[in-house]
Amino acid sequence: MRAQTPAAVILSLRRISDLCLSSTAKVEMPEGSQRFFVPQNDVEGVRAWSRKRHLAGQGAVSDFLLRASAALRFQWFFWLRSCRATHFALLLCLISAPLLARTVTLKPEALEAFAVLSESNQINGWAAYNYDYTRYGADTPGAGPGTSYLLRYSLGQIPKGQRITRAEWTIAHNVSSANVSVWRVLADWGLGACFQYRATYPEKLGWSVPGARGKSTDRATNPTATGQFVNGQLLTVNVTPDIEMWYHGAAPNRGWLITFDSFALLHSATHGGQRTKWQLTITYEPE
Amino acid sequence: MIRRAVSAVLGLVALAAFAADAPLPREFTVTPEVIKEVPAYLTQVVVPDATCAAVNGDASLLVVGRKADDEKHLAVFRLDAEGRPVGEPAWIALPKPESLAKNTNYALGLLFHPKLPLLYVWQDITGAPPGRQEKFPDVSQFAEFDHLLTFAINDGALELVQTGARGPGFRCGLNAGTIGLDYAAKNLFVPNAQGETYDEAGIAFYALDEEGLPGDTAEATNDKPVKKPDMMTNIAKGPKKAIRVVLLPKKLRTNHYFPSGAGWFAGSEAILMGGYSGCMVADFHNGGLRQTWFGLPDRVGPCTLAGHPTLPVVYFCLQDNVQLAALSHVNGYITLLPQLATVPAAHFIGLPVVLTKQSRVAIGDAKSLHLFGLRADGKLDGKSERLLLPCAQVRGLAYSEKRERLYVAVDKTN
Repeated sequence: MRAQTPAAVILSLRRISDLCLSSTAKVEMPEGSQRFFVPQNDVEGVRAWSRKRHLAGQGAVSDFLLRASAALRFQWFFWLRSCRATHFALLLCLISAPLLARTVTLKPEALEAFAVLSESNQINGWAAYNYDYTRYGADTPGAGPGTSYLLRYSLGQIPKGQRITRAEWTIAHNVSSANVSVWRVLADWGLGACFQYRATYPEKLGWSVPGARGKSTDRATNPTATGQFVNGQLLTVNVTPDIEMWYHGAAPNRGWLITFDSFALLHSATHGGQRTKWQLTITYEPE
Repeated sequence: MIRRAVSAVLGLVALAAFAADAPLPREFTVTPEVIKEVPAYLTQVVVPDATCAAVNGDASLLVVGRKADDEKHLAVFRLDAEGRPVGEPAWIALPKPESLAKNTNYALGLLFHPKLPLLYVWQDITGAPPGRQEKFPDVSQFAEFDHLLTFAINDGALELVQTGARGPGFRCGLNAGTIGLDYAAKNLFVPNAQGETYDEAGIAFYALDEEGLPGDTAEATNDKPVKKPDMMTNIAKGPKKAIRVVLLPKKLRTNHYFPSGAGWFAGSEAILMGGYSGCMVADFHNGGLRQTWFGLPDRVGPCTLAGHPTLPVVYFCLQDNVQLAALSHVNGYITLLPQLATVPAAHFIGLPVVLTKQSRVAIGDAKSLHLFGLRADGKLDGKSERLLLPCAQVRGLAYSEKRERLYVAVDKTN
């Protein structure tokens, strides 16, 4: 028997079960199907079956099934299918789906853009904490009604052809009990992004409302998620809809805007050892 | 078998194509390619123990500062039409008071005025109080030491016309710190001013008069003035060099350790300064100088800074370390996230220098020079070269865009 990785075996079963689910035609078993195992060289028999299953000429899928069937010698699959294939396929789906799922955790290294929108320092995209009116710090992220944050992650770590099943974002804070809202950003932003402008290079482009506060223009009409900081706990919010949209291209990935209803001291997503607490965890599986 | 072989080849080709197009991570490690041939755009001059350099293409002058016990503090080279040094350099000794005759003074920073025939020199001197005196140091011995020297360029020769930045208001004995101009070249920023405590670095700036000399009043002020140093000059050699009382530059705390002013870049709306563990963004707001500190993501230590003259990027370099950062800025405001290059076993030193025509950034190291490649937008392209040089520490770097040439001071000839 040809060596198969567990993932390949599971995927084979999954593909075959999908076909079973979509079939209503009577199945004609290939020659030799009365045997429990198909001989490894019985490719022609499986090929004949696949032609009847309208798989012939479908390139990679057909070839994959042929090879998988022959290699795995899962003749009992045909037998089972002729009996109660649909139920079996459903069972396979249930079993294989979680096994096929993959989870990737995007840490701050995957951040591709970041900006601070500070109402008290409106043209500086790194005025994260104001010690006083003459001195600001970029490394200590203070937040509040007048200070919000833009973050955009690269989703390049998710392979193509996947279905997003779950996405959770952990917002790392230090001290606070603020209510937090996570908004999908609609307006394009880039170099020079700050409270007043969404970009200042090569030309100055303003937000429709300073601070990216324009609903349905700068940011989505409703927040993707909301939550409240609790001291000693990290806040994790469900951002699955946004990740799905961005991944499938239904909307451009322009990141999130985080807003706060009262003062909050965050852990930096960009500086220092606590930044790894910011995590975007995405679970996906093959479509 | 043939099908498998063809599939494998196609797979490898696809992998190679993917690798070639893969975006460079924002944080990456690069091992430099050691180059043995000196690039044609690089000119070496022999100035042992160089600390800094500056070149003026219009005046055809290359000046290299050095730290040594002799009285040869500045080497002044004349350049020919191709930008090559002609003959031996003229040497200039920097002034210091008699009371500090046994201390070694040295140039830390050099800056040519972009329009006027002037060279500003920031000098420092050894003999800083030992560590045990940090809280209550005795700095009286430096009371008459002038850090800021202004030279006029007359027929290719340098003539000292003014000195200033005197006294205990500035820290002595440092290895980094230079001078910078604001965007309109109306204010001169100087480094290593004393903050409110002995450990705290400040910055200071002078308003320049029409002749480019530090004037009496700075245009902007900080609302928290600190101790004002004496600004009397200590030389008088000509009409412009009469002893004059110059009010001191306006000073500003940084709340960071020394050094300050380890490289300046003037944007149209804000000025950037290299300092301890990062850089400072300073802008004028309601008549005051407002600062924002941007630190390195994970490391601490003195950082030097240089800006690209035409592209919106600045580079800052952690000293005696392995990291170089490229940060986007717009008009002087740092924006978005830094690009971080790590070069294993490197010991970067001195100011980065941008080679605009060659799309590279040069940084010194022990016995070598690093040349980082730049993309069209000024960010690092992930490539790096290293050139071995006969120099204990390569710190004397200067680039002339007009001559398309990088000058490097070395200890001896190859």
